[in-house]
Amino acid sequence: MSDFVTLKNINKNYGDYHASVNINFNIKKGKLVALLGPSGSGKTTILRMIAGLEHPDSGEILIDGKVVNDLPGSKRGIGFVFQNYALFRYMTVYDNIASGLRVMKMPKAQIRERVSELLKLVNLEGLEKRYPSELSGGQRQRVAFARAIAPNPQLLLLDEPFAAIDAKVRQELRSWLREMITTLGITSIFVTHDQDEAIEVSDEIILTNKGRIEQIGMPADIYANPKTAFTATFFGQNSVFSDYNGLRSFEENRTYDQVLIRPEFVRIFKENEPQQFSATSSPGKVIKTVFRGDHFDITVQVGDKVIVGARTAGETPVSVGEDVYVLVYRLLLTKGNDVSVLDNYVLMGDEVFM
Amino acid sequence: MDILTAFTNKREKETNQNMPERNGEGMKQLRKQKRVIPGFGLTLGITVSMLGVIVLIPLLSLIIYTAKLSWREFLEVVTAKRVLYAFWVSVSTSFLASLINAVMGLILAWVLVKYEFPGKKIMDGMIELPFALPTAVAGIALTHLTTKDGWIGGLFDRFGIPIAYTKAGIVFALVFVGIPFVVRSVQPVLEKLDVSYEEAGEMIGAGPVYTFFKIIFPEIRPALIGGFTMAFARCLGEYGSVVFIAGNAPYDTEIAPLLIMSKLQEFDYTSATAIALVMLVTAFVILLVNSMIQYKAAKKVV
Repeated sequence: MSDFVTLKNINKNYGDYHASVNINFNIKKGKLVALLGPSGSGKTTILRMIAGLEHPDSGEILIDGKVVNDLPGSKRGIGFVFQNYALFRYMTVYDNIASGLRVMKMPKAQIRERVSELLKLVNLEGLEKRYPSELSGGQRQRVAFARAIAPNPQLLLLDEPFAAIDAKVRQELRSWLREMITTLGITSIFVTHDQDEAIEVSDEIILTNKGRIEQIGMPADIYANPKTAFTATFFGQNSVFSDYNGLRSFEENRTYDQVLIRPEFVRIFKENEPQQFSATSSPGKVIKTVFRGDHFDITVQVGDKVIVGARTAGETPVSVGEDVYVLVYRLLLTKGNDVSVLDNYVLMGDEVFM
Repeated sequence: MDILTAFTNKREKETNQNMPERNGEGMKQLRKQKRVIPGFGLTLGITVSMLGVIVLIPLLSLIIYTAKLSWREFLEVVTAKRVLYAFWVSVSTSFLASLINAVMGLILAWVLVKYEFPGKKIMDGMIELPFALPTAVAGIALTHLTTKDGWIGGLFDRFGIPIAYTKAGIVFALVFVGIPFVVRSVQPVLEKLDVSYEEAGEMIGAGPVYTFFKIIFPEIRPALIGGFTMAFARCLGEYGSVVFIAGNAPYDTEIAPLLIMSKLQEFDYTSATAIALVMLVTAFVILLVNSMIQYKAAKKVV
């Protein structure tokens, strides 16, 4: 597979504010890529520069091997789904979807065919005469999606596609979008600030922070093997400490700034439960439990540290004040913007994931 | 795909439930509903009395005065050739002036909303000057400008086009009077219009012309029509600024309001009110059509 979208040394400033600093990346054809980062990290600016809605101060943007810097957005062959959808309020669903085709001067009969095909694809048959104001949020998003892909663009860009939708529908739409894009095989880039969304939906994540790219990689890889301190802290529900004194079976004499512990590298045992590595676990007291439906988040006081772990809803529940044993498998140590993994040496070689 | 279909159906059901009910229950609910700020009865009372004293009673007196004429006499007055011609002059010049104002006002509002430039605030403030100025003052000033010796009139005179004392002069004065209406109705709509509409136009591959006429224009059309009709209604009744510039030649540049004035000076009150009544009905019909268009447009997007 070849590179389809390439950004080379892109810089963009708004006055003194550096929105993009030396952005370089390649996106392969047919991939679904997430531009992930906290707000103000420059992810939307990157998306808008690819779309031609913003212009870089320096650097090159290539789509399908051609430099598009001087090409207006309307000529780049891009479908764009806006965060607020920007559906044309005075047009019906049909006219909204057909608008891009009419601009192309496609014959009427062909437009009708294409629109009904799209309505079927996004499951909005029968709603073509409605106005956007008469649709639900999820339906509007699907109209916006249909309008964007109607002219068969080679590249689909989505700006925070799920931000305006309530949590329950969002979950369903995520899988829907994933399925849609896989079916169509269209190269897609979407912007999000939600790590779960990026991990779940994308083939590849580009993590941005303060106008720079922190790390690029597959979701599982970027999650498990963070290359920078920012990446390590951005993913997962980390507990952060200044040292790891009091946790057993970890190699001493490391230099570091911070210690991160993720819940998935922590196991919590009740006092009477059998443990394989009892000499390695530390005693603690439960100070908080939060029910999450399929699991409990359990906060435990271990010495001077407050560690968060999890137990599935199927296990025997623990209660606040109960004495438990905490086994930590793995630590992430940050030093400057570097990060290293420190595994529990008793468990080394064993499968650490729960 | 099965899950998706189920999900779609479910969403549809929810939407249908959420759709506002459009039946006659509205009024009953309005009165029963507890509001944060009470006083429906009091405010409605004040509104009705104000409207009655200031608007309805004077207008009613117009009708009663006219009623002194028989139908035949009434028709005779309002269909006299000179009167008909005055109506025609009033309506045609007002319509043309409002049309010019609609275009110019839209451009002016666009410039004020979309761009930043030095002096923008001053320009914005100047829009209302035609409201503040006594119309007679405006009339004298405009006449001065457009006679053969005036700055503008002199310029056009070189091409043999007279402005003062012609219909062109009337239109000129009416454009001046009507400017604020269109600008002030379009401006807030443009301000609220999200940039993403323009960007969405670009992203579907449209050029600026298509984007403006097919995407942005429908958004501002109701406001533009509103501004146009308000300007039109105002221009129909405009007197002060027009009488000086018009020349007031019967069958040429005599407007209906002026005819009313001259009837009054001849103590022919009933004829004056008859003409006034026709003007009133015309203005009312225009405003009614306007509000119907607005209502229809609003129904689509709410």
